Amino acid sequence: MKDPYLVFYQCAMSLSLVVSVLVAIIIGKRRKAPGAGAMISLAISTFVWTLGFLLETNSHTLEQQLFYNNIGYLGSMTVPIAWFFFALNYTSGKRLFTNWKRITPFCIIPLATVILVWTNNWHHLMWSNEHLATSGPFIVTAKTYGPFFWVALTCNYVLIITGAIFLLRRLFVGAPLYRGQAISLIIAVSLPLLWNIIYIFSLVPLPHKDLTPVTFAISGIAIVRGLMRFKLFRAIPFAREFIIEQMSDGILVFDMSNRLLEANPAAIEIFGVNRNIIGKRISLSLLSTALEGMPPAKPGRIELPLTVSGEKRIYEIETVVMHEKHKEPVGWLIILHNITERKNMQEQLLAQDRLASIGKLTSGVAHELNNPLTSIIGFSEFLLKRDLSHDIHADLNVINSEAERAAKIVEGLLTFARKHPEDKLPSNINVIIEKALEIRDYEQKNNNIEVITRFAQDLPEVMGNEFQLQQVFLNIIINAEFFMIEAHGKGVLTIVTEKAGDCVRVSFTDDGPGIPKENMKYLFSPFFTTKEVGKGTGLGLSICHGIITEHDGRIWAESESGTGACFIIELPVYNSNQKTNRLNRINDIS
Amino acid sequence: MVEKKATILVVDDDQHIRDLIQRVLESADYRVITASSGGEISGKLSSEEIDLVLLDIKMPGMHGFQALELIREKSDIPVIMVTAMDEATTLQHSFNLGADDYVKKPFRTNELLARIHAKLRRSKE
Repeated sequence: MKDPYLVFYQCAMSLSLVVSVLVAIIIGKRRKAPGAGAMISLAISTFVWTLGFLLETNSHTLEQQLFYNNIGYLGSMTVPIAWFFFALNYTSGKRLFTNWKRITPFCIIPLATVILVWTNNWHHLMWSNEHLATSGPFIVTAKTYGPFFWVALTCNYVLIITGAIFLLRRLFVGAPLYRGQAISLIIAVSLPLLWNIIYIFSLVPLPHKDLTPVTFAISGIAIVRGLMRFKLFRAIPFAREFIIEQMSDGILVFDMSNRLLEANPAAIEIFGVNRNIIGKRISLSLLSTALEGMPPAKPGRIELPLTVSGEKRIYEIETVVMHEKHKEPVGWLIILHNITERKNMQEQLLAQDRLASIGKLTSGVAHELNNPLTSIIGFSEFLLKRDLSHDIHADLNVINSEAERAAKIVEGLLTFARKHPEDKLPSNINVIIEKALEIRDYEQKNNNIEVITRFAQDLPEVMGNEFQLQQVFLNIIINAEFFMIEAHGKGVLTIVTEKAGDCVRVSFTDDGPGIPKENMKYLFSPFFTTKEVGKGTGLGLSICHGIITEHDGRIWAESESGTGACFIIELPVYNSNQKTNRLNRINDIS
Repeated sequence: MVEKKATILVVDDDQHIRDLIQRVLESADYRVITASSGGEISGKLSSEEIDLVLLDIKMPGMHGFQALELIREKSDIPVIMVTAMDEATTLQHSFNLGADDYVKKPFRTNELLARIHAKLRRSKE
């Protein structure tokens, strides 16, 4: 009949085996979570360790017992490593140690231990004086531990205790949910550790066999409990640090003596500095000259333009003083928030608003001009019907025709400034360009701009919004004028329309300074301008691009610096089979 | 052939425009009565026999639209809007309120006369 102790031990070990397998299977389903891989290794190592010891208790010869003891070592030496990496990955929220290169250094001593265990007969570094001890309830192998055993033991304790410290730290700083996770894990690890210490140092006389692997069964249950109750391996634990590392806002933490305590990767990128400035006492101007004179530890927000990896950005810099309740401040925090996009948006709205008010103003002025023009035109016409001397008649004609011309300009302005319906109608590009040129006629003559037009007479219509297209053409014409005048006080603008395949192509070629190569790719980006402050919003071409794209067309520029620029627009030809309501035209009374 | 001189009421706040229209119309043998604001229209309509109204839209005090509504409450006589505001919505609104035609400022005197003539001919039929 078997000894009851032996039965108890063997049952406990078998249970431990089953639990290890279950833990491995359950966590295997969430193997992508941080620390899950290490936890699976831990379960497998426990299994090997327990299996070795279970078989050892069933053996009756010294050789057999030693053989299974050595098998058990394969597991017992990997348990601490697996535990250590588990704690590290789990608390950092990342899968830090996934490749062998990083893990190998930690494996040297355990590996050496396993080799020495298997070759112990030749050197007795692990143990000596091994013999079967039959005085207890069942047969065990008694041995005198050799020097390397203590090295291996120390190594294991260091790894296990370090891992436990990682988790303990979380116990105090983590959120309540994570605290529950950490307590489960601490129970899981401290039990085997305590038992192992009791066994090795024979603190309690009763157990004659190392039952550490059995305690891992209890650990397994603790882990499964954590899994079920606290969503272990499911919720990313300690997400705060992870968030700070990943966030796009830069964060700098200083103590009161201006020592940089922490800087997240975003802050490092923003200032383009080396990580090793962390821990040093620095002034803010060292990070960026733009921050010079920024008072340290004074709470508030400022906006600052910074150039980050060659890109101009606007940051909102928030300074927060950190102090515990009713205590002196302990440090200060700087948060750098990239607000470039928001700023650009605001400016775009502002520019649109400005354009709208210019439109309103223009429309008001134009209307007011119409009344005096009516009188001038009307009275001169009225007078012209009278019997006048030839020279007076000629002068009156000038007054009348000039007033007519003024009326035409006013009409053009009104057309341009007016809010236009959004609908597209079949339109003739030649007519639209001519209207745009009429508006610019006076300016062009005054500035020695010659316009050459080569319009295809049989140009097909395109489906378009006349006013939007006129805005596009005006923009390009005005741009060309601006750069030609700036370059040589005059210029020749050639406008060609033609049919190109399924498209109508319009090209505006000037003899201005051309576009530098480096500017070509930014031409149609909002807020890109080479004009002086106040002369360009940098929105013109981007609006053109928007309108043309909205018309299913293409706009691009060709230029070589020094030989003028050519803007080309292609719009799809209107196909009369397309669904369109030509009646719209009739409704458009104006 | 017009047997009796047709009477036209010109409503515009701009003195020069009123003068201009008056001279153009009188030279074409119409009788002209002028008003410088919408408020005067009511009185003129009851005291005079008016055949057609030329009405400015943008006027201080009573707006042209209000004046038009007022006319339509009393009479069906042709009303031609004279306006610098030629936005489609403005014109549409005028027609909805009962205007018969419009002339855009600045206008050609011949065009003005032609439109007046056409309206009067039709209203006589």
